Amino acid sequence: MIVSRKTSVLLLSAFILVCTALPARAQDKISIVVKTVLASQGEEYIDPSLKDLAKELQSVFRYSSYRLLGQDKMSLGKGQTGTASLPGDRSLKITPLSTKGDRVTLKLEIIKGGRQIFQTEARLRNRSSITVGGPKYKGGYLLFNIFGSF
Amino acid sequence: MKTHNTACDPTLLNLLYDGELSPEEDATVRDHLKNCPACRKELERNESVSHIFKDELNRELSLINQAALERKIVDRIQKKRAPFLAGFRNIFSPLRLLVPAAAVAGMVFFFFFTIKSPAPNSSPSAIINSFTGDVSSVMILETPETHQTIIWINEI
Repeated sequence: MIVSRKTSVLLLSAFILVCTALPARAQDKISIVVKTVLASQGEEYIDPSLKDLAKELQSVFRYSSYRLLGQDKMSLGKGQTGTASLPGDRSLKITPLSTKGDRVTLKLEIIKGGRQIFQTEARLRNRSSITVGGPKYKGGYLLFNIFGSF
Repeated sequence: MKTHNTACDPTLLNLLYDGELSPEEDATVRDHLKNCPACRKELERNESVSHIFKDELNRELSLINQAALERKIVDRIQKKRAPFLAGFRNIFSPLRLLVPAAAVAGMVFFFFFTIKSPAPNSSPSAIINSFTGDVSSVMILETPETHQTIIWINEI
């Protein structure tokens, strides 16, 4: 009985050590999901996968239709650049620069026809998103929702 | 060799019952018992008392946790031989570690669950440090409920 108690204490201690170590390792990579959305007027339509996002966007925009055109997932280390292809000969480059507390500093660049048209540096909260929108496309406007977690 | 008087002697009767007489003395006392009802009665009384004592003792012993008693005795012996080592072992015995370890584990789990499911945040989802662009205008908006940050650009 004495041996089994010692074993259980050792196992418990090892489990606690693993649990405390896991979050540290998870912070090495930033998980990014980019959703490309077409917002437009006209027939009312909300893509099922955009319900939560559309609800937020509808609080500031008056578009009646939100369609998901594409989704990109990437896992980036600090200083590593990921690229998401966007409609209209555009691309979005994302580079995590640093993390501090519960925020990650991201460099976002929108490239069109090989030329950088917009760049921003934003401190994104963990498990939150930032939306960049405005480029015109097929009678509507493109919105790029960037969700980050680490 | 010491010789015992064969007259009625309670001491001899006790020694006989305990089997502590020599073979010759045993024979002499038994011979006396054949002719002495009083001594026979006394011997029977002693045997009866002895049986009751043994039964009660066995009953009490059967109630004792012998493994725990053995451990206690071993601990006392170890303490006497190496008091520091016994104390050191006591401090780090599994039972003493289990409760604080369980408390630490509970705190760790509580910490992780509160961190993973934090309360709703009132700060913007993204704080803009800087922006540049070949655009005609830039608007920075924040949704009222979840404070999501939106950057609206008008391309040239």
